[in-house]
Amino acid sequence: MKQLIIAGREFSSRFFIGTGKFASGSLMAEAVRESCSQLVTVALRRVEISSSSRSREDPVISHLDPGKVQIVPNTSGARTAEEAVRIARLARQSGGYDWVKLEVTPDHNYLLPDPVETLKAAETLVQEGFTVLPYINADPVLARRLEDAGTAAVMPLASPIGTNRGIETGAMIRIIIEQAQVPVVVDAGLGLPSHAAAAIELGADAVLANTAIATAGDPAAMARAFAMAIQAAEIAVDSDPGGEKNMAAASSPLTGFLR
Amino acid sequence: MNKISIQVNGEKMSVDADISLEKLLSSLEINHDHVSVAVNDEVISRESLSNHRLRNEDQVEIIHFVGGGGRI
Repeated sequence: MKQLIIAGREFSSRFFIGTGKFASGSLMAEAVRESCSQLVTVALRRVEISSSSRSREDPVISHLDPGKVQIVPNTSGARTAEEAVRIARLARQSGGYDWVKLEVTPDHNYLLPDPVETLKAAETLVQEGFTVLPYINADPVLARRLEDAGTAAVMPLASPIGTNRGIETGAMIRIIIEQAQVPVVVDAGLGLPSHAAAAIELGADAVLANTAIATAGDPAAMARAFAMAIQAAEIAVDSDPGGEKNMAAASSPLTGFLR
Repeated sequence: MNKISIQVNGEKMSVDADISLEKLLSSLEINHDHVSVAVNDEVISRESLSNHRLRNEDQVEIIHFVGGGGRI
């Protein structure tokens, strides 16, 4: 597979990790280490004002080494382009992060991304110099429009966030991959290492997982399993797999039968 | 002392006029090493927290990075 380069940065791992839902910062850090991932996403949130309801401070950033991983704030929680742009600007001003995983999800039940607002926000953020990685439904036309707007990658969903259902949008992801000039990162819904491997075998440049790892009984082991599956799929793609056929094709010699 | 009305993370509050951001954070028992503060959408640098005075109707956001993948 050709080297994965996003906005000039080279990645030796095709596995990106979301850092939400882990039971603790140290469990998250261990999983990131085991995964060998070089890109993780974080979220920006309001601090609880009343100290009684404030959860014990465990700043996620302190568990991550920016020298080893690219830290990418996401705009989760944004329901409109305007909200997403505001979150991205605050993230940049707070920590100097100019990569952003753009998520605009007004729909509460399925957390599906709003294509119109996502495109609008992407145009603004690209103009402001952000490296924009938009989370989208698996819509090849939208992927094209975002690429034209200057996003550094596209991140189509495999199935709704956190559902662990694997690739339900395969036919459309295939078209996105066929047409894209920017890296395609399959995101959301990947529940098992085999799902991640299937995405790479389809031709995706990378995958992102969070829930599958964070909610596993042993997150570090699951992270390692994903990393191995992704690597296996990468080797498989490079080994030029034989194509599919409708009818059987014998793999044993068709002569010299004992009968 | 005169009071002003501000919003902190969407909650209305009445505080002393001219209060600094640093004082506001300590009155809320928030450790300012771990948070970023924005007033009317502009992030205030850590060094400026002690001399940035709040004015009536200011919108203060106290934010921090948390774990996040998709929406959580």
